[in-house]
Amino acid sequence: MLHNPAIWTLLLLAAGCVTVLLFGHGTALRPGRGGAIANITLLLVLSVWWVHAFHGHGEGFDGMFLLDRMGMLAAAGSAFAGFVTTVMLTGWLRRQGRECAEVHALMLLAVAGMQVMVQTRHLAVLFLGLETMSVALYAMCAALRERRAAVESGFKYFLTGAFASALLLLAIAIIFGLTGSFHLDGAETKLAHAGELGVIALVLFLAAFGFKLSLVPFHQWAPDVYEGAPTPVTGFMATAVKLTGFMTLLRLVPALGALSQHLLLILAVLAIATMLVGNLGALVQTRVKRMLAYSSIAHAGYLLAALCVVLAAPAGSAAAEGASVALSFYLVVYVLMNLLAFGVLALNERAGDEPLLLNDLAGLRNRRPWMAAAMLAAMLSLAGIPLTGGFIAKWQVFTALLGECGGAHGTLMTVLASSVALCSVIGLAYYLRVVMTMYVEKGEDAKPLPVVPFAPMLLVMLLAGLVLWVGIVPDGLALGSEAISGFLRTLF
Amino acid sequence: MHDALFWFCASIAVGGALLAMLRREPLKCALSLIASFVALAGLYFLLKSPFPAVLQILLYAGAIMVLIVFVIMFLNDESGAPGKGDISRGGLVLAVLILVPLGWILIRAIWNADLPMMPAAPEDFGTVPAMGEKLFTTWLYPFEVLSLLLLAAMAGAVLLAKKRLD
Repeated sequence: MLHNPAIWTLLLLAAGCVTVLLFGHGTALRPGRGGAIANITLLLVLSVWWVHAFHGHGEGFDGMFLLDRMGMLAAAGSAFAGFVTTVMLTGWLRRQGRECAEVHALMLLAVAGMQVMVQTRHLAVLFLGLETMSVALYAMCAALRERRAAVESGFKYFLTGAFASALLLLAIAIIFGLTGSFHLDGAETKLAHAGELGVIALVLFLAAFGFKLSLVPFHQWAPDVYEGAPTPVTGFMATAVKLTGFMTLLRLVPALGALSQHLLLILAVLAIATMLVGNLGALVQTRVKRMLAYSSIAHAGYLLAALCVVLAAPAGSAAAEGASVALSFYLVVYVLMNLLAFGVLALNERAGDEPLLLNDLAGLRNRRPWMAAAMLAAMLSLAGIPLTGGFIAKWQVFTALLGECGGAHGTLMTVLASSVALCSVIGLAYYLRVVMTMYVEKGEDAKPLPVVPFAPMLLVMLLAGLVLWVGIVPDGLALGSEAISGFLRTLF
Repeated sequence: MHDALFWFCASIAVGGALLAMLRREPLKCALSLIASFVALAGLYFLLKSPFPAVLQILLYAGAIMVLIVFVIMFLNDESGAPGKGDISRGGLVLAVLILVPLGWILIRAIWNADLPMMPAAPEDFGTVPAMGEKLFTTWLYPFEVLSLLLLAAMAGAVLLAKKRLD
């Protein structure tokens, strides 16, 4: 068991969390060290994953724990998102005058919860991981608890999240009742003959995940929660939670597919509604954070479309494999570009609780040329313009959809593909509006921007570079990751 | 006898939970919740698991409820006339329109479902040694993850309640 990287990372995260709680607090004279400890912990966790190079396969604890490439990738992705967020969050909280060590401890626990969630097919363990992640996030959303918006954000997230958890528990209870086990392995045949009750379990399960992933019509909480939470935390929610949620769905949905032949139709309808509502909602926003919240809803729709291809293609075929690779790739790029966009926002946000309006970014080209360039990369990538990672990701999902157009579910796939295309065009409008504001408007009467520390700026530049690099060399990330693995292996 | 006891406990458990939701005075909600918790303990007894039943009474109906009642007493403001009309009539109608058919479908499905028989529980099921052994062997991993969950809840509570953020 000690050869198991997952156990090491969980132990590291738990130890880091306790260390932050014990030694992370600052005093009147010196700033807290919570962020630094959390960052070191997350870097160690990332290097554990890289040393193992995302290879290896294992099971433990009676199948409650499952280690494979997908789970490692998702866990490393959420640790990376946690790292970027912690760097941003340390400075952001200091600027708002609300430094507190607990936030960093909660971040480590959220990352641990996500790892537990993606590395299992046992429903009880899945639930525990999901709750650990959610409970940590509820509190982080309301970290600035003197502000109305923050309290509203935390409370709304808590209420909808608790409701979603109840739905998930009911679904798990029904599945346990039908199969006599919490394991989904080998439950397919039993579930296939479950009848009406099985379909109800499936619907409850999808509704619970719909809440967590803010799929339409379960999305109403998202804009308010995203807006009220500290900006770096919003970035974490928009990236790591979606990454974890979709990876979990990718793992579980094929098993649940036995429950209903309508599953694909349900998911496709959800995907189209999510794309449309997300994009149309983003069009009318003037606050940048709210716009990005709707944009993340829209991207959840594209991701769901990719999940539909995985289900539509015959199980185990090359097409299904290709579609799940396309989904994973989209997720990775999605995490990178959203971390970048929210990072730039967090660095430009002034102290105080007035929201960052689109106009505040006016003339950023002259005032912060590098920052404007980074935001440009993020927006173009989110819109899916060539030479950015977002384009390659969207193109892969699109070709996967087109590839299935002649298959058994051809009509559905055609409809999905055309809505992806249509919604991408709508998306151009609001992403390019941000670019226009930064590059065309003068912004002479704009309020002064806060001072930007070196480390977060470096990180933003790195992320922008990665987003562009993936767009030019699509397998660049994999190559780079292997290079890092090789380097770390020489050290250990 | 067994069936009658089950229905008795189950209706109190569900009824108490419903009252806890519907009553407007926080203290009465808490008291209804105690009734629900005790009835739940009764259900555990019926399932031949005395240990969880005792824990249910000690921890939930006892310790946690005392905490909740304390909090209610502390926060009790004198103006405390319960709010009226929090829920709009339209919202209520919409909720009933959606929930009643859904509930009917769910109940009918459970009623008609052909659930497999669970294997009979071993002789020592629900006793302290058997539970302890399960907890630290088969269920070790979830047990440890659960401790992370509690830690998250604790750190979150500190973050939200601490007087002065450093």
